[in-house]
Amino acid sequence: MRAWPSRLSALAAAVSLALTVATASPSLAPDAAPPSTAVDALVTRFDAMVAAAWEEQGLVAATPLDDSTWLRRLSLDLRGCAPTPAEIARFLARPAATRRAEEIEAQLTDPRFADELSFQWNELLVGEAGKDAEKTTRWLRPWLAERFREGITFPQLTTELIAASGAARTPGAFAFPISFRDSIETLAGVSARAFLGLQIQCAQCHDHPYDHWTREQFNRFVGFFVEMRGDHGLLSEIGGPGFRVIDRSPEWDLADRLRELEAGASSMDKPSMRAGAEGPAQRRTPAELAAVAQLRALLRESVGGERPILAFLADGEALESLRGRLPGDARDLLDRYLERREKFGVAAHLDDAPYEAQRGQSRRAALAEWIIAPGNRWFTLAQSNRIVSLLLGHGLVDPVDDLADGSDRILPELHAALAAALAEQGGDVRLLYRVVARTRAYALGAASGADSEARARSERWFAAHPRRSFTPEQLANTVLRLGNADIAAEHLDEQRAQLLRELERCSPGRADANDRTLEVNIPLALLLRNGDAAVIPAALRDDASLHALFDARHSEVERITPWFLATLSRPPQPEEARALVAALDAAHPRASADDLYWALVNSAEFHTNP
Amino acid sequence: MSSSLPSARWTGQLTRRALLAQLAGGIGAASIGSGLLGLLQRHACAQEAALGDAPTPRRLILIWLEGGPSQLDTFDPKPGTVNGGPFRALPTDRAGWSFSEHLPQLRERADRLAVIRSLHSKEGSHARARLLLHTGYTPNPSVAFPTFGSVVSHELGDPAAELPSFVQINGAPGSAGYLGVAHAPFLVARPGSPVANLAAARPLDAIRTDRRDSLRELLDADYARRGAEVEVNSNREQQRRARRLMESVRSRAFNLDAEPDRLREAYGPSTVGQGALLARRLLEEGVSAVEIHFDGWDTHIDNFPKTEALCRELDPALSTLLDDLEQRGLLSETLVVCMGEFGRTPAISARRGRDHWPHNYCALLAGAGVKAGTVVGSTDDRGESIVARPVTVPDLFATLAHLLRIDGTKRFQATSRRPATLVDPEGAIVRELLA
Repeated sequence: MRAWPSRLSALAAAVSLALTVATASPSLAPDAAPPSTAVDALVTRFDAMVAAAWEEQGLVAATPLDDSTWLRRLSLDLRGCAPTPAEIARFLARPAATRRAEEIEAQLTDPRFADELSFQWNELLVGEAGKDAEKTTRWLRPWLAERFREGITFPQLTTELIAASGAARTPGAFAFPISFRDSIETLAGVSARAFLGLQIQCAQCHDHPYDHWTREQFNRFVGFFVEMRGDHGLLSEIGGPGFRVIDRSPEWDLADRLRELEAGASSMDKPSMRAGAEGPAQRRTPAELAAVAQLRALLRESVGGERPILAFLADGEALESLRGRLPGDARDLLDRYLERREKFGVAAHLDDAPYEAQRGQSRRAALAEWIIAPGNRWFTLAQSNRIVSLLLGHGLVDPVDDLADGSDRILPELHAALAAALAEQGGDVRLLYRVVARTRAYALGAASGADSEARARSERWFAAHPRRSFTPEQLANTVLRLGNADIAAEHLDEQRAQLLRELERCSPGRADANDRTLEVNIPLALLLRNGDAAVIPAALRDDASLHALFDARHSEVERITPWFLATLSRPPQPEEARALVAALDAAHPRASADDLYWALVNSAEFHTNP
Repeated sequence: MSSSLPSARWTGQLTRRALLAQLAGGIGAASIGSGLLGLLQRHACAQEAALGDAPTPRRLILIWLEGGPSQLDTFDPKPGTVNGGPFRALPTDRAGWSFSEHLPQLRERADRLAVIRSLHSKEGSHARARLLLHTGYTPNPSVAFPTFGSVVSHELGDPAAELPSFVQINGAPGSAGYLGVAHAPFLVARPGSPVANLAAARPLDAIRTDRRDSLRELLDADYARRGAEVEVNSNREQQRRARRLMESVRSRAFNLDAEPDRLREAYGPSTVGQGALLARRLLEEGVSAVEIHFDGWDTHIDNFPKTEALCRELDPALSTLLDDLEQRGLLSETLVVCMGEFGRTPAISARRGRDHWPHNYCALLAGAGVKAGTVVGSTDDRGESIVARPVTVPDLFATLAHLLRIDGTKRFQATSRRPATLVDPEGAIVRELLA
């Protein structure tokens, strides 16, 4: 130990301790340091139901993780970042009986938990917007992080996102609806997935043989979004560029668009585009102008609620005559209005309960109210299923957002119990993270044995934990923290945004809408091999670290442990340590250290959540 | 037919995730194949015939006109009508087919092109239409359909090739969806720019690189012994391919400097011009699919000067590409497609612009198996509706797959309960386009 630099010696001591502890007491008893009896009871129930299922299925639980690997898993899951060697040392220095429960509490109140949730929800909400999501992610994710930090509940989150309205130039919930301002069908589909755990969008084209949902149900669900209008551009309310989401009837919207058409400008324009506008507007004939005026008059009368336009539209001949007299661009607007009105004019809930308009409440607000209502079981089932899936690798229903049709469902009573607890606690976002992270299943290692079918079955029943690749932010956070232990958070944010863009370039899209993990491909392998990620950080590059690495007075395990903790969050196995140390070249210590670090970062284990 | 079910044939190539999902769902590979067979027979027979004499794998170049080009100001002009705009039309010797006056070089090559003027869809927003015209399927947040270049990479790419099998030049990369990121586009930010991370900041010699790889292999082998074979095998394979690309002389294809100035100038200095040249170089080195993103076609304001400027870039780029491919004997095996997410409103707006219009628009095709000089579909005098031979996007993709000799009826387990075919089974091949 003496020869070790001071910051590493504490670590080495802690790790020696960890090795002993890991063997002596491999897992935490769930009853340690209970934050509340309700949570305790739920954890006990979870463990009992899962254990009974193992017995029934003839499954044997996998070996539990050692403490430092458990900490790696927890830190990746809750804070989106592998632990630093110092964090591992601090964790291992605490009393074994209580440290896991304490660590869960500490991480749940860490701002990085809110940050990690904001990534998960951002992807869930606007990942679908593809290229157009870039600009709104800037506005949505910071808002999500802030609200999670403030302790927002699931019902509040749902209402704020679904019914978001107003204008602003700062981050806000309306970045969600605005991302889909051109496609309320997608907005409806994403909302059903995120808040209800239901895949309804397959019904947008046909009534599908696989589906629970009909096309009419889909269209009526979309009907809750039909009055939403989203703009992005120069806004008079805020005197500059920003976002605006408002609710108004399709008639009002059409009238407004016709007015804008006639005025030759639109608030939808980007400022730069608007500045470039030149040349006279297309000339209208008197007959065209009269037709536009007639349509606008009809619409004006309709805004009051009498809806004379609906009566007018019912008269096919009159409509066709007016349509024929309109100039092309106005006719196009009318056609779009008619199509929208016909498809999505009527709103109804997915349980077929009709929607009744209430004064002062938008359709979207009415939908949010229905989603979070105590009687709506989808809502809490969906949120509890997602948390189980995030922490254990599988939902109680798979796919996680297919509660109605998902054929792969286990332990329905447990699912109901978790959902009920979530409802009782007012939709507390942290509750089920706390519960699931304390279960016996969460502390299990991966399945052993080569039989992939047996392994899949074990993982499905939570008798073994699936290894998962890092998500983009897990990789970015881990790599940046390794290299910049002392750097200020703002600078890290910038670097992280850049690295995340690079990862998106390497690995665009997802094979499965619910799986955000990175799969290694050529561009990602190139980035890990040749990018900054594999450059050895200062903490391991100094003379003392190098000296320690080559100090033959210590065992191979001791010499190489700091390197393993920094990258893989675990001490090396003796044979691993021997082989690696034997491959080092004492004549070129710096090059050897560079190579060792490079190899650790490029190993499969480095970008795997254990 | 049943003995050579596509799904049974290549289950071994399924991604790790799809395979695990299948196992978890208890769905065996065989059961995927047996379901929709009858429905798909019509397609399968046609494609089986094409597959029978498959000699060399064909290749794809997609020139993507991001934003949605105005069909009236490019390939379906209506000069002199209320919607026509100021551009003149250049007639061809094919009755009723003319080009905008700003595409004179393409018009000269009409005998090597085919055009569909009657494409239509219901998707009028960029994001959804972009997905539709890249996957051939109506977008659905719960199914990750692959972008077409990824389909080509999966079906026609050579796994032993030194270069990635699908390269995208410029723009936001598409997704390989359920085919897995091994088939995701390899993105080149700008034509001629160096490939990201192809070399380390301080390049190492081969001995040092070997040393690093053997240290990594020590760690990976140990991790595999501890049960992580799947993770390790995937890491090994991609590390190997990355290193092979780093060391391959073929990666010279990314550098345009070797091309003669006259040819570079003929393609034009634009992103699409130099991108088309890069595409040709990549195909020569074994790449199967290249997509070039050509942005700027979303002309809500001042459509005419903007479209004119864009056409002046597209015209030499695509024309020179056709000449160049033909001279090198590559055109007959390369499918060249040029299209965007939709067309633009026939009516000219008060802002002298044209807005989104998915009701009738164009796609241009050339090369592999395409019957040159074909004109499919027509629109009315004002360009507002289709009067002959409407073509859906699934029809287009069934045709593209057929032209590339890809079996579009192959089924994949797209989600745990939903099989998907490579091409939407609702599409029917546009036979007029086949040589």
